[in-house]
Amino acid sequence: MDIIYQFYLKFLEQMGIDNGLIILSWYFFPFCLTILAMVFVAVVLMVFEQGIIPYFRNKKNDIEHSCKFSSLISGAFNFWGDKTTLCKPGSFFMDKVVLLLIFVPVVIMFGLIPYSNKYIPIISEVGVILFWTGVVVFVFGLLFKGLCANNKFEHVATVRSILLFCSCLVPIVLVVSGCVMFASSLNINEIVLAQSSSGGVVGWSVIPGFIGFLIFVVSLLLISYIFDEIFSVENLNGFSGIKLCLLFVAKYGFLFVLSLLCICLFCGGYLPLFGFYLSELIPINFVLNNSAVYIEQIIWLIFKSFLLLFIVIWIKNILWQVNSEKIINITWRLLVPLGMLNFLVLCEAKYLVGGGF
Amino acid sequence: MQEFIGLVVYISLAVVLVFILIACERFIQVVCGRKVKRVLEQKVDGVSLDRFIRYDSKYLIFGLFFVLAFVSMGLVLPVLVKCVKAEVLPFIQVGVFVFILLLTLIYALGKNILKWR
Repeated sequence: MDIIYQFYLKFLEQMGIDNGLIILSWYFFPFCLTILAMVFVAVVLMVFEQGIIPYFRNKKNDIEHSCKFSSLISGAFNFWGDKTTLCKPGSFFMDKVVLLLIFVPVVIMFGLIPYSNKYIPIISEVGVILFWTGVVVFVFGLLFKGLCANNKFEHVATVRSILLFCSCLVPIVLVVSGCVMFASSLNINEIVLAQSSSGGVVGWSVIPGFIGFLIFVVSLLLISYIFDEIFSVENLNGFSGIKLCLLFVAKYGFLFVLSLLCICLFCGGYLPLFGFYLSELIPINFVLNNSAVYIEQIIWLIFKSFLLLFIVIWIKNILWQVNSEKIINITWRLLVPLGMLNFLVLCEAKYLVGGGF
Repeated sequence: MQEFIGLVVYISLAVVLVFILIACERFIQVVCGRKVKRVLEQKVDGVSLDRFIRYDSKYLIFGLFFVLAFVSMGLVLPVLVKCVKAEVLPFIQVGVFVFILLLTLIYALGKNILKWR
């Protein structure tokens, strides 16, 4: 990325363009890559969740399943077809605001993740806080989505869904707080680098913080359940065409970016599994070797995140169904106390590592 | 200040993208828009079976407190970074915060607030 940036910088400087404008325009490229990644993730996860898993679960009804799947795909990516709305949104302005509040924070969260040591679209020392701000804005976007439905039942149902969603986010923020405190940094890249070791997996935070990792994964699983309700066909009345597509992309993008955060906090982010990069073994010249390392880092991060999310979606679709009562019980009676316990244990460990007061 | 340039550019580009896509949809749409308004009382729950419970007004109150709890949890993050020097004050602040949360949770469990049926 550095080589491309230097080339881009030299090219535009030769054309006599101002340096500040060059830096501003450079962000356009990572932004485009982010949007492409979000669309790719949405398509892959949608095909996996709605196409592949139900096919293997219920092979006898594959005709019915294929009809459902094709209607879902055509509904989500029907940019040019008939524009039918089941319920009129609150106002012309409101549904645009909802789209902005749901879609924009997911893009920002994607930008905050360090994909490799050199490729971090938005470099920030307070990355975790910005990430969390994005989550809060996303939650309020979902709240507005219900409120713009112009229907009192929709309002109460949305608040209830948000209630369940927040119940799952509280354990996650407890876990993230523990990781931030232990790494003593709000920069996600520094949290990843703190896990690097010659032993590979041995240095990852998942070994000392296995409880936290488990809490994160279970919360992610419950969030995927709640998203089925929030983004169900009945709750997406008033959104069709490109708006529905953006909502689906934001839904799967949010799940994936939470998975990315979990990997960055616990599984070493872009660090390799074995402690060394496979591309280092290939005898090529130094510049190409470095580039290959950065590409390998991106591949490692995406591979780990997809693996985690595939497992979560597979468990969600295969094992059991939960209702809201169970979600509340699991989160507030099990995950939140466990998260607090994990947090206090990490406090104690930090105290011991820091040499006491 | 420079580190927020990327953030601001990203937000601006994302906002512009959303409006461009919405505008493009109007041009590429083959069939003219047809809006059908239906009554929503027929809506069913996609996941759970508790179709009527979900419309209880108590969720408005609970939802408000849950959102407050979730948002306020993020406020503890900057305090935690101070723990790098193992100072006493941040540990006490975080300890008090977690203790208050724990008390609230115990109270809620004792009053059966979280038991919904």
